[in-house]
Amino acid sequence: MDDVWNKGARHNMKGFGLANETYANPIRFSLAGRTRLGAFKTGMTVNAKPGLNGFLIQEESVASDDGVKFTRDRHGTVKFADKAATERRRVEPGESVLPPKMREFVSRWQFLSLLPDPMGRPAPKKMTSDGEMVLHRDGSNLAQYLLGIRHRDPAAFDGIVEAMQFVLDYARNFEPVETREIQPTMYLKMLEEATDKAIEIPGWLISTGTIRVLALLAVLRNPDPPPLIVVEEVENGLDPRTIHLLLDEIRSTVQAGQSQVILTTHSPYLLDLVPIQTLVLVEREHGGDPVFWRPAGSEEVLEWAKSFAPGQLYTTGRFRREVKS
Amino acid sequence: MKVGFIVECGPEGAETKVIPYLARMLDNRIEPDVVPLERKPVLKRECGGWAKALLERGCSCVLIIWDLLPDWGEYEGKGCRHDDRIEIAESLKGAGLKPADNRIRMICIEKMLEAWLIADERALSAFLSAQAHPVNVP
Repeated sequence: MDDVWNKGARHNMKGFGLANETYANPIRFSLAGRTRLGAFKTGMTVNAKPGLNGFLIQEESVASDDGVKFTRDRHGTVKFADKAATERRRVEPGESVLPPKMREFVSRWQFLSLLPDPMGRPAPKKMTSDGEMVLHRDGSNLAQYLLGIRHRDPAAFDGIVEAMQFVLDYARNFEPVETREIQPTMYLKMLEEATDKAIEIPGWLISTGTIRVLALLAVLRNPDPPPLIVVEEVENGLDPRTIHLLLDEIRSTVQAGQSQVILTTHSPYLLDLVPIQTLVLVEREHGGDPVFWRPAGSEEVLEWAKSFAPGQLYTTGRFRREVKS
Repeated sequence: MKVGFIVECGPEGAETKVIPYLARMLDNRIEPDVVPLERKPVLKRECGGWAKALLERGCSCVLIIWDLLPDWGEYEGKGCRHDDRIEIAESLKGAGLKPADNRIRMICIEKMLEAWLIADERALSAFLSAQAHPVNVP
């Protein structure tokens, strides 16, 4: 809480000295989603215990198309809309009442801020029933993640290798390798095409761009892709040809309707490859508050976009937000 | 015979491979010079300047090839051949070329070029063949 809440606001105590003493500025999350069972809406208000000694869920509500509807209060009491007022349940202060299918909708969201160094090095192997479902944010479990895909769907794994061969035409294969010393670890090995036999390149010697694009392709071509993929600075270490390939892959994933993709970027080249309607600009106001806005919502920007690509508009300062007086 | 091709794909993308291959199949005297212009909006905006540069650098003709259906159809619509032609003509005029210049040809592909090739090579052979000049697309 101390790290993430608004540092520009004052955080006074409310209900001082009482059992329900909390901070006055909680954080509110709202989510509207759609699972195979239908649409749902949920909200959660999170607060800190006095002295920032742990967190608690102050309020929570869930309503879905398939009839699930309940609320929980700051004492952890859950009330069901379709049941008698006497029928209540008690949960722990930090325990969410979100049903498993909705919780899974969120827990499978894939956030990526890839770090090539840990991605190439051996990482502890974790026991899983059906392979890793989520790639670690830094990509450090890439070898096990790829192994999971190969077990579940060998054709999907071959597709990833084929796409990588477009990036590196001398790459013959990528092999997740398991070591058994003090504890089982996994790392990745690239087999490189040579005149007579393949040369083995261990993960820690694979170039940073190669290993990043491999991780991104693995997520995008996962046979059971995450409902949301968020990638930070997607263009890092990638040449224009590979950025183009990735955009093609992202477009296929999005247009298949299985995932939404959010990318952060500072690359004018990348901006040129997407329609202006998909762009959201983030900037800080004078007071320091971040402002998110869509350039395509501005008539002036749309007029400029008739003659120039989004990357050019970005670098020439044409993305000017119209501030209403 | 040097022929310029202006296409919509990324650096070393599919069109940069397929078009020289096809050109050589049709006539091995063709020396293709392919300019990949990323996406359809970029191609429509910048094809004029590139066509002019290709002609000035010895191309006997320039083919501007684009897909009718935009990449991001959900944002960019289904594509309109008439509008595409007007925008390309504007770009050519902006570069000092006449859209009716015999050396420039506009080719709009209804389905994606790659899909067309993968789907039916016999239909493509039949389409490209003339009685005196049969073309075999493998």
